[in-house]
Amino acid sequence: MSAVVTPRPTRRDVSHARRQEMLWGYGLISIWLIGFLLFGVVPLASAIFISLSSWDPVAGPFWQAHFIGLANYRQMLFNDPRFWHSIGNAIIYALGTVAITNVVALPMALALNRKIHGLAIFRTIFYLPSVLPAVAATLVLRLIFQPGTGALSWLLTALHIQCDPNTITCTSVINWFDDPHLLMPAAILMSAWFVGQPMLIYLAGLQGIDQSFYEASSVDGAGTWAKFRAITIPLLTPTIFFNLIIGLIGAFQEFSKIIVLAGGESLNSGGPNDALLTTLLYVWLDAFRYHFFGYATAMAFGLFVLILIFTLANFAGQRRWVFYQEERR
Amino acid sequence: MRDALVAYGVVIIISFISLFPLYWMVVNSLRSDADISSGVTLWPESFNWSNYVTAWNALEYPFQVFIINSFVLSLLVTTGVLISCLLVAYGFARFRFPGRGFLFGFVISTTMIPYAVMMIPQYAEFINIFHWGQGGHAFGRDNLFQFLPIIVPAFFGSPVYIFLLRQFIRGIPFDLDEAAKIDGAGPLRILWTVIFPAVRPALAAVVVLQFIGTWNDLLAPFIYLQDPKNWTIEIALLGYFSRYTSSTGGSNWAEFMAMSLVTMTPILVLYFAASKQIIQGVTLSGVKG
Repeated sequence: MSAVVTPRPTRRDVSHARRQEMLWGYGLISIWLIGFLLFGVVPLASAIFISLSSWDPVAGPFWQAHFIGLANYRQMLFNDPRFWHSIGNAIIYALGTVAITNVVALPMALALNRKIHGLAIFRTIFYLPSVLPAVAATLVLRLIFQPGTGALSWLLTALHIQCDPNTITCTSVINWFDDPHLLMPAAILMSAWFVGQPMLIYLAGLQGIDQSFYEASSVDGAGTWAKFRAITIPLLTPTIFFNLIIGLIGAFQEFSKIIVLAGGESLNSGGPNDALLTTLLYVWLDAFRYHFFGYATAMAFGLFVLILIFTLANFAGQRRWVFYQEERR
Repeated sequence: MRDALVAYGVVIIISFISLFPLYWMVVNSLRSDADISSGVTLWPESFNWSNYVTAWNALEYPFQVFIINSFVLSLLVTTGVLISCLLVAYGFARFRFPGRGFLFGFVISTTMIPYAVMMIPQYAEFINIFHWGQGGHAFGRDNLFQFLPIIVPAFFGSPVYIFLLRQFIRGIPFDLDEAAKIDGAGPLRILWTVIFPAVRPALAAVVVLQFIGTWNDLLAPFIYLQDPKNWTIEIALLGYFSRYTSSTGGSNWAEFMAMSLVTMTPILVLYFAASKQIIQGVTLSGVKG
């Protein structure tokens, strides 16, 4: 008789297999790790040095730049009103765009949350602006806002908010782009077109709410508004929190939309009176237009700190107002 | 019943508002600049197809140069991202090793570092350490060489897609791997025969999202691509607008609209062809994060 005996794996076999698995795991991960070292750690370390120097690339490699200690930071914090103006702009822009996109996205998600025909089509339409190239999209919006020739101008005239630009006596045409007080509001209003991303997240969050909550409250005689206030909003707070964080981080780093609106003819401006000069635009201008790379790097760290402050503040505050279902034990 | 009607009405109205700017863009690309300055209409007074021709040739190079640049760049970056993220996600999903959880969390956390902080020192790194500069050649074509600072990092993985793919791979039953292992398959063969076919929907989302992302990117290409010959279409559009805009507001709006439409068209096509994958990918990576 031939007995085929499958040998039981010995401990050596098992540990060999585990070691192989570990090696493979580390090996595959190292693809990312090497990239991170090369294009993450090295630049970050260099950035610290560059921010403590005065460097212009035409003068030589960055490690030979003129070391000036904390002078950049001192200048930035105590001697540069333009920097603080840009921080203010960045905060206003970030809060404004996040507020407007979330306020618009939530009702849209609520409306789409019903089982209406063609849900997928509407979802596709609403998300579309978010995938468009920002320069092209902002150009179209800019034309709409264009004083006298834009669709918005026509609407404002029709509503008698401004006079008819075609009449010679008209002087109160609203000029969004040359008026330092209107450029930021215009930029914030334009961001309402790009609500697709937060809307999708809200949709996913809404679909995670158990229907039985609503049914139970109907039994208790709750109306639509009461349901919304007592069930939907609290259970949606984790989603709102997520959208807040992602939205703020994204808004602080917005470049394309800003430079189309404010760049001007030589792409070296922050708008009238720097009305739309956000910190990121200022960093880019100072480095790649005015060639103050060291100072610009210091300001970039300043922007990083700003983003960090807002993110941490949100995380710290979440205990106050974010309601996680798992906590109810 | 009434609630549903209200919701439906709201949705329809918002759809019109969402699509209006695109309609406005098409209409105004066909009007003449004079007509645009004189007033607002919903339908072109005349169909000036020549606007497209004028705009196409307005810069130092005809627009097809920029389209090809964008296309090549997006293709190469997407290829790099696809291969590297799949490999890294496979490593995180299917292999156990000490510190795996921590490392994965660490990878995710690196998305918090803003590009604003990285853009200057990365530029310094490329021009000083790697001696990359204006006027080099790769494979005989100098635009490929100019693209290198953007293409090379893509081949080392992108945390967002690593996350997405890992989540997806974890959903594939491990029995399939085991069955292949018993047949003597090594890790790479398992990846090719078991994982790859099952993960294709997620891969489709990654490909489409990354292609669109690279096509739309302005900041990084703007830093590295100085010579107009190497410009991507986004840069070209911005350059066109800034050069031909005049402070009196006359400008060449019809031509700007024409080129905006050209810039958007590949994205529109890709989007409508793959909207399901895109939305799935965005929702997946968003909710779990």
